[in-house]
Amino acid sequence: MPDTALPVSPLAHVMRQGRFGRTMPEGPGVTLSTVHPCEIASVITAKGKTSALAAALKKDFGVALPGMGQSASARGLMMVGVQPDSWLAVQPGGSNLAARLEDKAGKLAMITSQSHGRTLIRMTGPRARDVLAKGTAVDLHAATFKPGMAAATQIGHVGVTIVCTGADSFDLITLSTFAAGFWDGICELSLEWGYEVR
Amino acid sequence: MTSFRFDKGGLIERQTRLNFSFDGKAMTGHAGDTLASALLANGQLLMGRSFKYHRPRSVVTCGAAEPNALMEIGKGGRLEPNTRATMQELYDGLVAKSQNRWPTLERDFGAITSLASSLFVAGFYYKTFMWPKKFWEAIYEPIIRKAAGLGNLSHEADPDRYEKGYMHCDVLVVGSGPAGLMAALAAARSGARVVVADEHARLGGSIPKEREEIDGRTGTDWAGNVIGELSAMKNVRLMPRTTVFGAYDDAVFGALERVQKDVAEPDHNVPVEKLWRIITKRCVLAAGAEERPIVFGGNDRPGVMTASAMRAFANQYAVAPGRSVAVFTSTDSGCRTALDMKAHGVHVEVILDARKDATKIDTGGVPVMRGALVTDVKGGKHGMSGVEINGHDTIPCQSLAMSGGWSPVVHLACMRGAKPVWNEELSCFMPPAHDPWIIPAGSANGKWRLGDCLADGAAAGSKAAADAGFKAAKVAVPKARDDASHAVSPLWWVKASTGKAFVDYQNDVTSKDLPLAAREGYDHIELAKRYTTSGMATDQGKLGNVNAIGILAEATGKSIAEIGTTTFRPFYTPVSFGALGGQHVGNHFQPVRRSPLHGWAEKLGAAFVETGQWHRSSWFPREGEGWLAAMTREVLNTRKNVGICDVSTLGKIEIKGKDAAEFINRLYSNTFLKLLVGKARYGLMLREDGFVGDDGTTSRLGENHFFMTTTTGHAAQSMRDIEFAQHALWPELDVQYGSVTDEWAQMAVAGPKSRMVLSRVVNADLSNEAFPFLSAREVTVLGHIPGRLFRISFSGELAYELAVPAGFGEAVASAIMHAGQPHGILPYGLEALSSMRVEKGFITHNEINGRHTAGDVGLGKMVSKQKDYIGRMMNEREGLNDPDRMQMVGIRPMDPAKRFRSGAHLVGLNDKPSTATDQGYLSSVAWSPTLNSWIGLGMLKRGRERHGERLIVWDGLREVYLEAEVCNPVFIDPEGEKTHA
Amino acid sequence: MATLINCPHCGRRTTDEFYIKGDASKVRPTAVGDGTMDQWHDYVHIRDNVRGRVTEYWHHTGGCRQWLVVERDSMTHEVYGVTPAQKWKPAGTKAAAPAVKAAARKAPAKKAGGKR
Repeated sequence: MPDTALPVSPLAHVMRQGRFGRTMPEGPGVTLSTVHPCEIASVITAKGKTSALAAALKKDFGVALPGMGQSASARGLMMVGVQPDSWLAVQPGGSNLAARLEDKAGKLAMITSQSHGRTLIRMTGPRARDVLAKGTAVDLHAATFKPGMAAATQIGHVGVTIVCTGADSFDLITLSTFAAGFWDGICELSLEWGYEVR
Repeated sequence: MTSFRFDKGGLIERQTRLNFSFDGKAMTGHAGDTLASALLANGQLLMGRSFKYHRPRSVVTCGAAEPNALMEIGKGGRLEPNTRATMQELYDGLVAKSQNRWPTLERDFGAITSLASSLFVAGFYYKTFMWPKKFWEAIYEPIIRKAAGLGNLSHEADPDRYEKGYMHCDVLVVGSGPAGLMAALAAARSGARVVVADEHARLGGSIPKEREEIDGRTGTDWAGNVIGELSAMKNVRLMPRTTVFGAYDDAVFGALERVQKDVAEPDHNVPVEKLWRIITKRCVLAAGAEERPIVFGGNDRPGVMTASAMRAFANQYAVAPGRSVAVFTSTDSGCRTALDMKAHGVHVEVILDARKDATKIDTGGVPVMRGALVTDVKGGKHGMSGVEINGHDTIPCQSLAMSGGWSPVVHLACMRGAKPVWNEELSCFMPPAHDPWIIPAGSANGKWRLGDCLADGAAAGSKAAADAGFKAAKVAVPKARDDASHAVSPLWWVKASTGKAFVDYQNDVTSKDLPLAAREGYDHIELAKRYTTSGMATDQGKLGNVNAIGILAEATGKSIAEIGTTTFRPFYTPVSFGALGGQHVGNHFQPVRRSPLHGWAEKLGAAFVETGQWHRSSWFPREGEGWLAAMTREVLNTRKNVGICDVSTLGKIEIKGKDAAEFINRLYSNTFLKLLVGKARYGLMLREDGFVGDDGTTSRLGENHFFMTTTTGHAAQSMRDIEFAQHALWPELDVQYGSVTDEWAQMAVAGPKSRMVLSRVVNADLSNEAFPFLSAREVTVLGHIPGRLFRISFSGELAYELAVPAGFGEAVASAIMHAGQPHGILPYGLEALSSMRVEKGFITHNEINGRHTAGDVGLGKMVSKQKDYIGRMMNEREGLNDPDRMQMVGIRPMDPAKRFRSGAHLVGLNDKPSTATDQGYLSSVAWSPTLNSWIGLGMLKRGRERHGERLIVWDGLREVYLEAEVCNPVFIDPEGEKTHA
Repeated sequence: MATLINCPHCGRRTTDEFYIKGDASKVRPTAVGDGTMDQWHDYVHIRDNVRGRVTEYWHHTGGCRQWLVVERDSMTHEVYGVTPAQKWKPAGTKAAAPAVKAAARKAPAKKAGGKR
């Protein structure tokens, strides 16, 4: 019987670790990795239940419910506002996130596991903003797109949620069936500044 | 061989020698050269042949407007035709070829057209090749096609990479001349994010091309300082080699950055060109002005060029087209060329000032002839020997500088539809004040004096920064020596010309063509352009248009303002297809979607087929099997034993909420309110116009919890439709939904033995009693994986669909294969799936094609009259309920081995196929392994009452003419006994 | 058409992130059945080809996935405003959205071990 202990990452067949692209004296412009497995759930509030949901999340998970285009993190759980009444809950290395959320907030929102449906790619480095600017028209300038901010947009016609997690650090959350092609595309766009896959 | 390089001067790096070739001849140049300047330095004045008359041509400009010196650059897949030698940076190993000549530039056969030039006047295509009529396709068109066009393509794939990207700024400065640099400085010091784009490799615009002092030092010194300050600022991005080619709505500009067009072998990690979409708040248009040639006899001879070009070649590149110069001008600025050439040690013969009444200015002792008109230029293909004045005297000289006035480069201000405005005093078209975000400055704004340009640029930069929300910083305007007057009195053409006088060099339009066009009724500027081809092709009339307008105005007795200009459109200069495609080529042409079961299918040897963005497993061939054999085996095995198929591509939507059932009930045409928890139901969605839009199953997993599937192909549209229904139509409903397509791997397990196989994998009672047809339940798979099991069938067999979290898909599919081994399980692909669904008469988007109603496809009973839903009323339209409509039927060829294809028409047995006799068409066709026959689903007029009738399947494209029989579209097991077993 | 759209949820985005459905000046009729066909015909089929100010349904497919109503000028390409579809009230029409229909009827509970 095949091993079913761990889910297969949609990037398993395309990720190769190492250094690629142009060799830059200051080191690779971009570092790419994925977080797998990564617990992800979509949280969509029922009519008029947003503030109740915010209270429940604060109470039981310690995390604030951010606005659209914002993220908030606490105790390893990140909430990202992707639609007016819709969030992605992201917890790298967690377990049963959707079930735990359902347990505490199932009456206030539709909680759906997306741990398999979404894939998280982590991009860091001094050229990360430049690589992303080849795909999206969102203004990613450091003064405009600061840590904690998020944007649901497209790169190469693939939907992606970009979360700025640090000065030059970004979490890219994309649909898993697109993830491999998306990964290839991001790698190609990183060639000119050199990239490292971890 | 009159052109040459000075021993000193210029901004070239004389210590760096670069080897290149032109038409196979080895030459050398220096870093800092353009191909044009290097050719001149090598004595190569002759650079090409003209389009129509194949006249010998050399450079006439020193920049982007160059109409003559177009070359093929590079080798193999890198070959790029129609490259302006004036814009091509010289690099070591550059290979250039002249164009539009055969067999060689020296001996060009096409030049005989020049002898017959009276035949080739404007409109000659329309006049000459009219008759005999049948000659057009067979003779004229092929010959014209061969003769037309400029450079050649290589027909090899381009090995280089191109990329596209977005850029954001507060102030975009187009052009880095005196005005552009001052604007950038003012805006940047105000704190704005500034992008400075200049089409040339060297920033500075006209500064390195002139010998003007700024702030008491050389212009290049001053510019170097400013550029140094700008490049040290974090809020400034300097972009040389970048052409802003288009202006679009909302202050978005298109720009092409030539990243690696200055090397023979580009680094493959770096794109050779980048196409930028620049989103800005303000744009300072400091693109400069173009000097107009004068239209006189022989104005296209090698050695004749604009006065500013001659200065630029001398000052920046230290080359001259000849050892002696004459200047023909109707402007004061033309006289500067005499001074500059003299300073470089070139003998200046005379200044021929067309103006009888020109005020006297300093010419450095060069004699001036007032009221002198050049009527012809003497010489041959390698240079000129002299100019004919006023039809008689000839003055010997090797080159001629001409200055007919200046035209601001207004293109970007006009691309959103506004027309430039004629200014009588300045004798030029000025940029229109149309878009508040475009601020013209410098000579693009009609400022001819250097000091005015610097001041205008500074003011424009401050205004741009202030408009963009910054507190404008004060910038001191540097002093410039500028006592020269800049009077212009336009001279559109020298009517007394004895030689051919060209208006548009690139298209060989002469001064006679425009009046001819006017006489023949093409007197509107847009018509004259198309009749004469003036202003077409790669230079788009940058040099010639204003002269053409002037001549047309004279010919029609109208003013220049009344004639106006043709329409300005992107692109300012040509943009390669490579750059427009950017990174979206090859594997990245469109996004690829990969099923979570892709790897599993790959291991089993699947052949994949692209269906939209998905790559789906299509069949699983064994050694030596083609698709038909593999599919046949897969179908027979599924119908006899059990098969497994990847159906993960279905659109999957999770729906919850107090009003979820009501919401779903308004989406589907059949009712869903009474669906039991634990049950699935087939549902039909109509479009608001009453035709069928999509179908799928929806299962009720809880009181207010549903799981909906849509078809693969329509998933994105259906999701949008559902969102529309909730956001725009019924926002009051309390319903939440989201796509879970990617979350679940879904597999169909079908066949009489499917229950036995699945029972070993899923911990649930699958007996017909416990889990009958159309059951839906959450289950545990392999002891720990949460799954969803549905008893639904698209094959007509006892069948299930099992969904598990995508990352476990491969493991579960493999476990099912393992469990199914004793039962003969085989994977089946899209081909087998399609064949089985046709055998069962199930519809797909072949039938749901926007032309058919629920009644047409035999699902009329699924259209409720008891509720409102999308498409409810329009479905009741009379025409949609006409008994004469096409209805879905089965079609079987009388000879089962005879293949027909979908799209074929259905006509009566004795009818001649025609639109009048057309009775319908085949929508889906498959080989049925079960029936050993080709079978089809078709849409046939009154089809349901015609089962048993014979007709003809006609496919004119594939020459198919077959007799076939109409039958029930459900070819096998019409009672559905197997499905319910 | 405009190049940038100011999405009320996402901010300024390029139009290629959007899907355009078309005219938003019509309100879906609430009544069905006899005598309503004319209203439906008007809602589904009748469109003005306006030179000037138009209102259209746009879907921010590449962003927040919300339906929006974009008011723009078909001639000058100026965008006057972008409104979430939920809040959109076409000019000259009755503002009220159709009243909530009878709430979803309770689904009959699944019969335990149902036999068939």
